[in-house]
Amino acid sequence: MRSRWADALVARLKAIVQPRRAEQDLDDELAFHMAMQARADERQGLNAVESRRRARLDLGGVEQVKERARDVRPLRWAHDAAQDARYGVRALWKTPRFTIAALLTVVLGVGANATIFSTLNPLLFKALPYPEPHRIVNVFRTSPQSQRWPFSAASYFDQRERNTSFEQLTALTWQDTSLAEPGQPAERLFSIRATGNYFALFGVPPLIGRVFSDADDRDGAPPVVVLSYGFWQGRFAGDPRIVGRVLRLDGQTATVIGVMPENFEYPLFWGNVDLWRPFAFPADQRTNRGNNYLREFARLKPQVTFEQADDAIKAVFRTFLAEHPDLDAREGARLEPLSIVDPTTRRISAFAFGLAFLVLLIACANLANLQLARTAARAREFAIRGAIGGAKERLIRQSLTESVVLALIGGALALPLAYWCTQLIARRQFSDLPGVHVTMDSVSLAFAFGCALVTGIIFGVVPAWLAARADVNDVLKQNPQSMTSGRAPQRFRQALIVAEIAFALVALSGATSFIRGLQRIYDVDPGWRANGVLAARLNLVGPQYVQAPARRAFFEAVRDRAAAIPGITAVAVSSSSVPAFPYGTSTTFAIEGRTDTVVAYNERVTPQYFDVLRIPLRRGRHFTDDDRFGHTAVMIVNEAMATALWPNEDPIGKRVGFQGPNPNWREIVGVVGDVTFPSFATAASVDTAYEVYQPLAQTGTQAVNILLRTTRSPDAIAPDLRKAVAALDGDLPVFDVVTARSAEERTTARFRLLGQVFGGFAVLGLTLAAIGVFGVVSYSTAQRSGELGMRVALGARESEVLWLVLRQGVVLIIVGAVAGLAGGFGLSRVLASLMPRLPSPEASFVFATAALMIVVALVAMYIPARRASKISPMLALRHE
Amino acid sequence: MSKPPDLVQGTLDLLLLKILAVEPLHGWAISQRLKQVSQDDLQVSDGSLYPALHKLELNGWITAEWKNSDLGRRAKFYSLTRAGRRYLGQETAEWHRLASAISRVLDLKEV
Repeated sequence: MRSRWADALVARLKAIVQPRRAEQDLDDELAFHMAMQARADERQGLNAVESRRRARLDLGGVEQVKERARDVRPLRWAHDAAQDARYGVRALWKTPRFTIAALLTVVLGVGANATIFSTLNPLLFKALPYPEPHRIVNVFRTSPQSQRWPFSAASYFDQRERNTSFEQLTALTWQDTSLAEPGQPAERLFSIRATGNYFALFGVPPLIGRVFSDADDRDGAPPVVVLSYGFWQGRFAGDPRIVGRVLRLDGQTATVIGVMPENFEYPLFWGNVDLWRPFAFPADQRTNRGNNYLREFARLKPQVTFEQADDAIKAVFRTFLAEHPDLDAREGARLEPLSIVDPTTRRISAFAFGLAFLVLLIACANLANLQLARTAARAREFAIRGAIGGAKERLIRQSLTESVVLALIGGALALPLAYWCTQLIARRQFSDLPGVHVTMDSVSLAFAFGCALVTGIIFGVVPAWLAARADVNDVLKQNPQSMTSGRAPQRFRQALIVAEIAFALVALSGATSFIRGLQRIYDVDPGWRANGVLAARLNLVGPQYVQAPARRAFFEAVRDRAAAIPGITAVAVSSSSVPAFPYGTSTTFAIEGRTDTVVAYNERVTPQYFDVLRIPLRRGRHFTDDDRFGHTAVMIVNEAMATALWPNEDPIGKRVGFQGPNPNWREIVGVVGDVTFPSFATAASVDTAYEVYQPLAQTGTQAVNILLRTTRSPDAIAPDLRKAVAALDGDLPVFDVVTARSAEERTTARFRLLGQVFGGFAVLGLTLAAIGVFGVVSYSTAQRSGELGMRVALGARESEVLWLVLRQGVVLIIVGAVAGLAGGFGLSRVLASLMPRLPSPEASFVFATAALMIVVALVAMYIPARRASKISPMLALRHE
Repeated sequence: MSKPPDLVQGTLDLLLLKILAVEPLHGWAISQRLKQVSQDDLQVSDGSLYPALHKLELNGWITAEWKNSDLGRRAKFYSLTRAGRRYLGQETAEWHRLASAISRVLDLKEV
């Protein structure tokens, strides 16, 4: 038995899938009705014509009945919309100039937004691929100098013991690891060393085998290693029997216990990771409070809010400080939500979004203007349709459907453009981040169409409403050729021009402030000279280098061998690479005779370092080969630190040491010039301008950087350098052989690209605004051609007519420019708060930007105005 | 002659269902039957008839079928579905309840 629902469904489906059939049925049914009625009437003796008339009368009009019968059908609205859309496409086809201008505007506006969204979506809006990611947070140490500092091992264990709001608290550090297998050159791997609960915290089970736990993270436990999916695939071809295999890592053996699934390694967040190892802290490390190198992540307990946990960790830290009076009392701790990118990248991205949105707004204003001009031209049609009973809502809907159709077509056309731009940006910006797929996906498609839809609605509804509101009598009384739209649309159009110019100027000044800021950063003297410098790295790992004397001997040997290469004028070994990047280590130092501590970059170098990089000596002396172990412990500080700490004293002879009970004081023997890093946006950099250098011969480093100043082509040097190192130890891979110049470019490439993207937005905004001004002035002069022709006929000079047309526009441009300047000023404040280290542009620069905007708008206005002033009176009068 | 009163909203549906409960009919016959049975006291414009029939069909209370009419011309015959019959029963009861309630009020004695 068929239920009522089945009957209803069948009836509805029939009506939907066979609309023609439904129409035909309706026709037939009514025809039958009329025939029957006519027959009945005939029997009563009425003639055929009269009876048909009465039948129609009785029915109340065949078409009306049909319309009412259609109203009860399902999806009536969809049917109407389809009809409107068909009508809209026909109307667009008939006005190609409007259509092309509007489509171009949509394509540019939506294309820019879709590109930015596709690029930033993976960075900003995707959660990390771990269960309940909102419960995972960063834990940072804070001080007056920085909000994002790492912790010491002792501090980690204290927190772990005392905190009550975390389910898990893990600490980790990134390390270079060397893999040496018999008969093969040594490989350098990227690894993470973490506490035993690391995997438990992130909550992802291994693909095969097991992950390490607290049991593996004990001093003396058998060394184990977990491999990343990428490394397992790339190095071991996905060998399913990898578990149990023994690898030689940093000269020691470790057993592979598991492989993590592909989505766990999230290079964007972790960087490249080949393997994970437990810390297995030795006892002395567990109590070390001076060496701050641990990044902490916590998973909050299910019922604990972020704020509660943040309060809790702060309270824990306060108790610590009370218990340890030797620690800097200004330090604290804070939580930060887990995000794929660092806050600065986030802010820059938000800024990029803002600019893209401004471009879209300008596009909307432009389209609204075009549509307004068009609906004004159709005001007559609308007024008449309104007069004969077309509902206003229906007219608005018609206009709206038209603009939405247009916007959606434009959106579809914008997709290839956005795709191409996204690919371009992905190649240039993200090619060094394997595993990050920046591409257009379904979400960005949805975003693009959403943008297009909103654009269509915004630019369709207002003009339609204004047109539908027009009084029938007014419109019909006017001469169709000289018809000006009413006051309200004209005001609206003027407001749009002002808004367009203002938005364009805001976008322009935002983009140029950013670009100018970058330029000023590059213009800053970095404090060293990159020309002619070549850098290479290697890791000093292996049992033979465990003892400090062996390491020192190696540094000297490698330095001497490198110096022997022809064309080398100076060689240095240092703990970090060339200062195109911030120095790799920073340390909390205590100052003799003072209670507070300072954080400074801590670079260990051989004596010729300052010669190789041409860092000038301001006071005292350089290191010498005599500054070695057993002699007086010495250090060199930079000018910024010297003047800040000893403003009116000679820094030479002052002593600086480590925080804690055992400071190991070092005597300052020299002051060198400041080295500035283009680091305003890197997450890893520490917030300090202080730089401390110590002799490598009195300290040590695991990562070895060889810096060479050469007179030969750096490319020719690389093979010689590899040979020199291989002669010392065949197990040590030399990697990252780069010129200092290219290292510098690598750090700035990202920002250059951003500058280009922002510049693109500015040009786009400017172009769209110019098109808008051009369009409106063309339209209004065309409308006034009769009046202008009359004036010319009555003897007005060309220049008078020109001024007449320009006068009104000039006022609008100036109002727009003033509003834009104000907006631009506001935006520069925003930019300053987003990126405090970005220098703000000079006032003259801002005004130059405004002047550019005004000139562009004037030109856009002048072209149609000039054409109008040359109007032939005859031609114009014929219009009347 | 006074103008026949407008049908209360929804009562047209009830009348149509009741007429179709007797036998399947086409639109014109339904309109005739309506006039005939109500003795012209209820006048339903044919313009309202068809939309109402289509709505009942879409709701699954009645179904339609094209069949040859007695004149030899094909006509769309409507007939009640099982669900329609049940619905009619409910609605009829409801109508009686309402009508008697209204009568009771109208029968109040005026002082």
